[in-house]
Amino acid sequence: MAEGTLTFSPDDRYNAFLRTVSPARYGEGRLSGVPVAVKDNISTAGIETTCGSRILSGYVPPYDATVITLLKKAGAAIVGKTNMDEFGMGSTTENSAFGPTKNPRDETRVPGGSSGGSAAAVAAGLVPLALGTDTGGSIRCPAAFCGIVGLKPTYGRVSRYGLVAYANSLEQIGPMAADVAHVSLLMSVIAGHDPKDSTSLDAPYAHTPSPDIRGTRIGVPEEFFGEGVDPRVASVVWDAISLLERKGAEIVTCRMPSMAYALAAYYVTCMSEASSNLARYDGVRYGPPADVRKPWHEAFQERRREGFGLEVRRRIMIGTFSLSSGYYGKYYAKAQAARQNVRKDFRRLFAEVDVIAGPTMPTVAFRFGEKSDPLSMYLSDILTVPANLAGIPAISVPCGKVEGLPVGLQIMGRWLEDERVIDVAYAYEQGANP
Amino acid sequence: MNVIVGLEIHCQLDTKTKLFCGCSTDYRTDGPNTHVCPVCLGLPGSLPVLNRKAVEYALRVAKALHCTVPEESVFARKNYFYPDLDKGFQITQYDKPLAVSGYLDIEGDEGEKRVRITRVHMEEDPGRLVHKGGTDRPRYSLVDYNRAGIPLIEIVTEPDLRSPKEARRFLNKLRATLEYLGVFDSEKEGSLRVDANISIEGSERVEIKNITSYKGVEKALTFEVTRQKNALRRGQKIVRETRHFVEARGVTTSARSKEMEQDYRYFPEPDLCPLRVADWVDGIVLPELPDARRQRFMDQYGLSLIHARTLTGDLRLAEFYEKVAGTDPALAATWVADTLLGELNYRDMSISSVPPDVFSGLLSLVRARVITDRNGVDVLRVLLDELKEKGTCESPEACVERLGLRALPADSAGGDDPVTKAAREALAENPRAVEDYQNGRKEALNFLVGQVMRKTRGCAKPADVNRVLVSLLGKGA
Amino acid sequence: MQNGKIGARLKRIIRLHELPSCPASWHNGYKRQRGGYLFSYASGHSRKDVEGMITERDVEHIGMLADIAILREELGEFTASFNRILEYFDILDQVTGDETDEDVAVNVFREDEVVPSLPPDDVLSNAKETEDGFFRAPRVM
Repeated sequence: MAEGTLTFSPDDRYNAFLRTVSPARYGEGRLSGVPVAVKDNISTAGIETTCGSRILSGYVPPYDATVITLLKKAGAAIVGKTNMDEFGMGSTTENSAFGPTKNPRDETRVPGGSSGGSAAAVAAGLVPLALGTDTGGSIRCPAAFCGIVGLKPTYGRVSRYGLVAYANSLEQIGPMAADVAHVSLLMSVIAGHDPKDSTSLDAPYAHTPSPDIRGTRIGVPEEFFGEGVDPRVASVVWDAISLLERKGAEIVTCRMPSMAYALAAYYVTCMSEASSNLARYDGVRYGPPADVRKPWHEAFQERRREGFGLEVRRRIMIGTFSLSSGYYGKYYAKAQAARQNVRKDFRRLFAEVDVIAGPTMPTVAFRFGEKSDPLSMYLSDILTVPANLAGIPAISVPCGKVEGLPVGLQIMGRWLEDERVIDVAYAYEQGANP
Repeated sequence: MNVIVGLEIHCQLDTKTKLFCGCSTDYRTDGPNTHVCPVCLGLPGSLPVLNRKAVEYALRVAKALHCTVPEESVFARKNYFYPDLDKGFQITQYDKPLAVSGYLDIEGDEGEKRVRITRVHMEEDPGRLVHKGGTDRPRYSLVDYNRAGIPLIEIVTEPDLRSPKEARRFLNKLRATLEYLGVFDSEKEGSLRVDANISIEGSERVEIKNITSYKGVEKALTFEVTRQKNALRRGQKIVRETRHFVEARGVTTSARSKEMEQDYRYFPEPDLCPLRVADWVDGIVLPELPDARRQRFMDQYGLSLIHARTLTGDLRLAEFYEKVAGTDPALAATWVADTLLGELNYRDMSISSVPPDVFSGLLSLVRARVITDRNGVDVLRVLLDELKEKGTCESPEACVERLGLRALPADSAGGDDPVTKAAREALAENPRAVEDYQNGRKEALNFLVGQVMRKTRGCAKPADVNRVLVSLLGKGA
Repeated sequence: MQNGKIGARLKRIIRLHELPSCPASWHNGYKRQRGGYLFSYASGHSRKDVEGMITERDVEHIGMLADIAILREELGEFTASFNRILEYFDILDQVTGDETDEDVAVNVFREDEVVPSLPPDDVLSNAKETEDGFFRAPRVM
């Protein structure tokens, strides 16, 4: 296909998009003319980028994120920015300042989050491909809840340049699509070294998924089927793992003791980093202005109260507290030690097994308002955060249903072995849908 | 009452680009916010990437200051809210600085002295604020981020300095060292800022923040010593506090106590990788530093310690001297150190504004006795005034001719040279002085010399005048 | 709070404070004004591990530190959720081990080469308050 424009006027009854671009331009390349939806925390030159927050409403980046540059180079049409929990802080997309997104599989339920808009856009068939971001499960959770595929790549494999930071050391941009092959295709476009991101790795992705997993050793940690995991979900996921065994994989049960404090380590880390990352929204250079007639601190405090939602303010404040003099050692430093323990656990396990499998989420999609207590929402991230703490690749692939709602099978792999994770997910997908 | 001073010095490193982005550092002559990009504006999603040259420069400083470079150093975020801070935090180094435990030898109050350096670390400069509004309180601020992200090194000393004068000497020596290293340009406005900690032994310590000039440091400390000593004499206690130096009035004023309560919530910068550059240090070949050059000036040019110290105390001055030392290094040293520096200082000019060939030309005229020393100084003043005004000047020869300052011949063989003529006139006009001289009052001769110098507008060489007068008086004129 | 407790607290505060590369003077605040928050806390505010709970005053104080205004009616909710969340975080007390990451990349640089800056229109285009090429900000003094 040559260069051109396409009209994009989706029936967005699920509020998946914060804004659409139509006509959308596209160029020549592997994705020529393919509409791609982009989560609203990824900077798009000339297209408003709000992170689902009032504090960035009206902000139009003067530059493209590296992944956007790569998508454009591949000919893709950027057709819209998708809804999300404000700054990625949430697992339901209910924390968007611009209203929640509905789950296309059941409109009374959340699509998961924080990349709920992207997942819903794909699940509703509005776009074949979407970019999400995953800080503690934000790609995999909505992929699982909406019944699509989402990959959190190895940390550093996709450039973060232009991704509005929530928790720098944890987050990655990743592909979301209806099936593994499309996720793999989108990954091949966005992965690669970027000199603008100091944490970027020189590891391009040029893989074609293969369903042959004979001899692959799959570890299944007991903790992934422990307390809090809906037994019906556990059962569906075990069935999926059995299917992989029938395909020639070897199943090994194992233990991951660091899971006990992984979630606390994750939340302390992301809140601490967020408290610093979100300090720049002072209204001086972008976003709604602070009141210049007031003294600085007063104007700034007021602007942050008005601009940030409740959950964002909560995380900024707890993050501030965990970094403050006298508490750093108790919270931030301990969280980093815990993080190293998680890495060590994975290293030990990956000496024995090739991938680790389990459920993506402990339950199926929540009803709206079900997780009004912040801590109970945090707890639902328990199975996804270990991969972010360790920087390893992890994918969620649909593996069946509970009461008509999708369940996700999570596959985690060794550092830089995104290809193997893709293959195992592909093997499941092919095996389940022959 | 012993004075104890420690300094924290922030210097801009003279790289071509900023510390974490490719924006040019050459912003001083351009309008506000013309040297900014997503990174140094703190736009959402931008990421820092470290300038290798800045690390090399900082390591040169570390090596010159005899520091230890730990195996690993780490950038950290210093979190505080201020509109000149584009990201709401400053990227700096905290618990793992680039270099620690060094020293710098200076000329102290009681001879050579070793000042210990606690640490040297790298950080980014914030932007610049301009306060707008009424005279008593600003209505709002204007922000220019051109300076945001300029690489800084912070050098922290132990509290080893014992007087404001020592602090100034330390700063001068440090500045010279940094310039010799080729990493710093002291002539760039705002390229150096100093925080000073000062206490009277046994009392609380006061921090004076953000002194922006070399002279300001000594002034601020001198004011503070007096203030603290007076307070102690009156039986008052010194409170630990932060004070600001008000350059215009030469005083320090107490900052609000709120600033004391800052909790910077440092943590490692997740967007940057740790540095492991200890092994770079061995590969760094340091240039000749001030102490070595001082010794060389003494050995090579036969200069006195005082002249050698003065001339090597500033890189540009040392380089200027070497260009003009020529065939008569002693004469050049005297003229540069004792005359030129004072004249420059008087005019608030820097040595870089003087073309070495012009000054060499002047020295040649003095050395060949084409002009007298005294008129040489006059010519220099005229040339400097021209330079200050236009940036260029006429040649020293042209200046001498234009002003008619060429030294007068005094070959008294024929007796019709201008000096002899002037001497004859002076004797004729001052019979009283002649009489005094003849009666043994030798100081009358000085008076007569003065008269002759006046008649010749300083163009007669004093030795000639003396010789001619004595000769004429001896003849009974 | 007793001085002894503050001293004990200071000792276990932060790894950052305990490293040998950190000048000893930092402990007593010679070089920097550190610990102000700590002491102001000690002089009047209750602390989590003194009375076991974060109080509304603590939350207000954290709001100040974070530069976020909190509405009166929000205080209760914030205080309650802070307590639940921080209580959950207490599990980290059991963590042992080192926080250093052995296999992290090091020495990532760019060369000192000038890249064009943003066009002036792009610099100011998102700011609502500008003046002669400057951004306008609330007064700081």
